[in-house]
Amino acid sequence: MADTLERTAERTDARVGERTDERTDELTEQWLHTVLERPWITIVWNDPVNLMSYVQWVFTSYFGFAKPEAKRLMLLVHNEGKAVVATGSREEMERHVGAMHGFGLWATLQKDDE
Amino acid sequence: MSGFRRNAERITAKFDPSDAKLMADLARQVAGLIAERGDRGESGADPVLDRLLPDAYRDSPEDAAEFRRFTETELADDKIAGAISLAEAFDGEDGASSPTSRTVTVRFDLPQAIAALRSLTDIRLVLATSIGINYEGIPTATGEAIAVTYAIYNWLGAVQDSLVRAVDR
Repeated sequence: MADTLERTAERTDARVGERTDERTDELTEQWLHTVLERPWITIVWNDPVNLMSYVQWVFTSYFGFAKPEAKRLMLLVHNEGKAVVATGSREEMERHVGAMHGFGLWATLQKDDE
Repeated sequence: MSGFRRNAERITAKFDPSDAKLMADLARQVAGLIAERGDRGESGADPVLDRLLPDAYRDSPEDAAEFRRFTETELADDKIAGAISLAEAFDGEDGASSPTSRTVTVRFDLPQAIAALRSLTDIRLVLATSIGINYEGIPTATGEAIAVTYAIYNWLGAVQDSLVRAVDR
């Protein structure tokens, strides 16, 4: 009786183990997919030099934001120290960051870590 | 300075000849500073250039250096050309402001005004970095020349704000 119980327990463990492995593989695949698909973002950082009026104008004229949205992002940069102003492919974000540097804004790109 | 005024696509302001000359001199200095920067590979050696031509990647020096290798020349050339155009606009009508004229009129069309906004930013970034402007907008560097530079920095801010308002309406 004891033997049977033990063997049953072993077999059960083995099956659970298999299922866990499968599930782990599935999760790994999902995770990889998410990481690969995770978009890049352009961040504009606060600096003590650029005028609020200028930063808002850059957001309007370059990104085409309506004035209220440009103002919201400008205030986010000013008050929180940074704002995400664009999301997309790495190439697109590099273009945006280069453009921001042309305007004298302090911008960087990175993978979205949310 | 009279402040910039916009009339349709024309944006103009009048400056004292000495102020106009100061602006032209500063713009040419910034153009020279960028032109003579040499090969920068990585950031970190010069805070002024690091602010004018910043890293595109914050946490990856390799990616930042790679990006710099492919884009810095164009960015720097744009900034040099912009600064020289700004200087020329402040030279006044006759190529150079004559010492006898009472004011220098600076005229921009819209694209020129936009280019001027970018170059004014570059000049302000250079001055701010050199006197260590902090997040309260106050210089942290000390020395006799600081007060003069700080006054010029603030004046440039007023000029730029007036130009933003003329462009953005």
